[in-house]
Amino acid sequence: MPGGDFHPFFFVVIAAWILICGLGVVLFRKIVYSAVSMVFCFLGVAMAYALLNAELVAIIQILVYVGAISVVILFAIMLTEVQGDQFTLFFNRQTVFAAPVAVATCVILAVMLVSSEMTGVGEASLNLSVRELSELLFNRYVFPFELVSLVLLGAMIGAIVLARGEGEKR
Amino acid sequence: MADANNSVLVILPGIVIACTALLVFMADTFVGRRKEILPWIAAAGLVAAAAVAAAQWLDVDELGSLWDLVTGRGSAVFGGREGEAGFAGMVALDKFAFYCTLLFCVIGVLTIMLSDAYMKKRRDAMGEFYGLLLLVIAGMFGMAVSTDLIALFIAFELMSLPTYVLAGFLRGDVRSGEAAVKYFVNGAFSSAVLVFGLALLYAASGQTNYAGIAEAMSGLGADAESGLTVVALVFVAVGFGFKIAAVPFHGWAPDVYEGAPTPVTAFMSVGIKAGAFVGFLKLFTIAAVGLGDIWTAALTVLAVLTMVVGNALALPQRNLKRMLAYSSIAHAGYLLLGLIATGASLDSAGSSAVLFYLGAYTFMNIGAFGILVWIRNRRAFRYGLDEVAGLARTMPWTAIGMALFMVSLTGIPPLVGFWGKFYLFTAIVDAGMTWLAIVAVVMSAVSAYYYLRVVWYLYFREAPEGAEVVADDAGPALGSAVAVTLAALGVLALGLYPSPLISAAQGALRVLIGG
Repeated sequence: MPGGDFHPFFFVVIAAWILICGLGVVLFRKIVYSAVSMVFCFLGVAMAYALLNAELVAIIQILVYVGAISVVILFAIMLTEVQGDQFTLFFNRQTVFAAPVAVATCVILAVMLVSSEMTGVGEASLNLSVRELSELLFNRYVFPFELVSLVLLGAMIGAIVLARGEGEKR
Repeated sequence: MADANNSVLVILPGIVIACTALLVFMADTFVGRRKEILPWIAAAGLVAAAAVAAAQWLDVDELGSLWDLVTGRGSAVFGGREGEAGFAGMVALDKFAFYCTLLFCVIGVLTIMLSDAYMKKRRDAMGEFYGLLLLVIAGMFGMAVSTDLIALFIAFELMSLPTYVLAGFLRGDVRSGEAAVKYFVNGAFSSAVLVFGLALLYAASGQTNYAGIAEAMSGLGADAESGLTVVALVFVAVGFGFKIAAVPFHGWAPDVYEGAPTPVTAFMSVGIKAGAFVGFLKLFTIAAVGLGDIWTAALTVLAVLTMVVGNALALPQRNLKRMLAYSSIAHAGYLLLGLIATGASLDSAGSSAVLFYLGAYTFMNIGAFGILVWIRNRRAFRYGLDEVAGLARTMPWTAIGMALFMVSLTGIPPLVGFWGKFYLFTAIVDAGMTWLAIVAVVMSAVSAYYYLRVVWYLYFREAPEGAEVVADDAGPALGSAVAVTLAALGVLALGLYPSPLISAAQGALRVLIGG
């Protein structure tokens, strides 16, 4: 297992935490509850990173997701929520079909994955310093790094296009 | 760093496309009311990117010295070698990528021409439209050059994300909004499935580089085919199946294709499909070449379902846009045959058939959608089959074009669609899966019903009342006319003389398989 001091018990606790919070995001009927549940879900993911000795990633996860993105989402909810606070779920009628398929997929996945060895996962140290990380980002991974900047640009402009009404002046 | 310079040269066509996108976004704010210049900038960027790719191709082939003229470096850069790897193995610009880049640029330019009348009504949004379109094409380029799981996934996202916005570009239209939301939700889900599959592939091999994965897998020997790799490859196939709208992951396609603006639908049905196919062709044939049994089996199920269900659902459609959407699903099924043939026989014939078919399909399908755009520019038109009845009398040239594209899509010689299917079906027979070829031929015969029914309506049905009414806002719409004409010429010329495209498609593959 990576990192060396990896405790399966802590991982199970954190995984359960993430799952429960994720279910909360989907199942809460009030959208603000869902958003808060998502904040806790992000925190759980940060803990998982910390458990893997990836402190830097964990800190960035908290800064970016828990700090920035969650706040923006909460603001967006506050600014757009116009009538009522009850939101019905999108795909209610399909639960009967979806649930057995989802459970079956989970069981098959679990059986398949547990039965086979993760041969490729070595003892790689994830505990990189900022210097090492930036060297990787701007040398070896500079191509995907720059591609991500284009993805973000596209997302930003796309969001503006969708949010702006047709014919409205900028 | 000499290496870094080389790396930049390797992805030069993509850099040109991406910079043109930025230029379009920037120019949008400076040109004021003269927005008509923006599509010209976008098209010029694509032509420039295609020229760079063509020059690099000539250089790799040691055929010409166009590249020497451009840079003064000559073959020192590419050294006449079979392509060049850059960014520590993240990308490889080989003949495969050159072919794909040229194809993507053709798709992009045709789409830009097709959208001219449509965008003239929405001048304020021109910059965003063409800029986002170029970003998608940059993502498609990324798919074609990536030789690393991380680069592949991000290129996949770059290709997908702006497309969701393009699908929802008709802001006032409920169907367009529905298309965007449906496409986004399905796309996000498929991306999650894909990235999970890619992560498991990493878990199985400990590598993100395609060549490294293949090496690690062959090092494992018989242990390579574990439950882990099965799950990984099935998940990758599912993510890929969503993007190309293979059955049973096709649910979004008809609604999205119908709701999106028609030029965007034309682009999605051809461009996104081409981008996804070349990206995964590379992943499967390089990284997972030793695991051919697994992904061939997964794709065979997809291919049979896609051909049968796609064609069957296209039969009752009386809305032309929806009919073309379902038929586009069926064509994804035919294309899958090429991948399966490659996996089953480890021969590049199937993959080059895929490349050829993508080229042929570009002309036929953009042409078919282009005709719809053209009719819509001339008169009131809601894409109904009854509305094109008797079109041969009111718009004879348009009817000829439509008939040409329908016949080519059916796969009747001497048009290019026939050659496309011929090479795909020959490849699958050579791979020893004759039954799959029989399914494909039978399904092509089924498709003749709904394609040729359109021709029947065009020529042998009386025109409905008011068919001659010219739309109030009918403009010259020169762009869509040129695009449709070019597509028709492509379908005819490549049908009568397909060998240049075939040899290009075959030449593109030598480096991939066993190279």
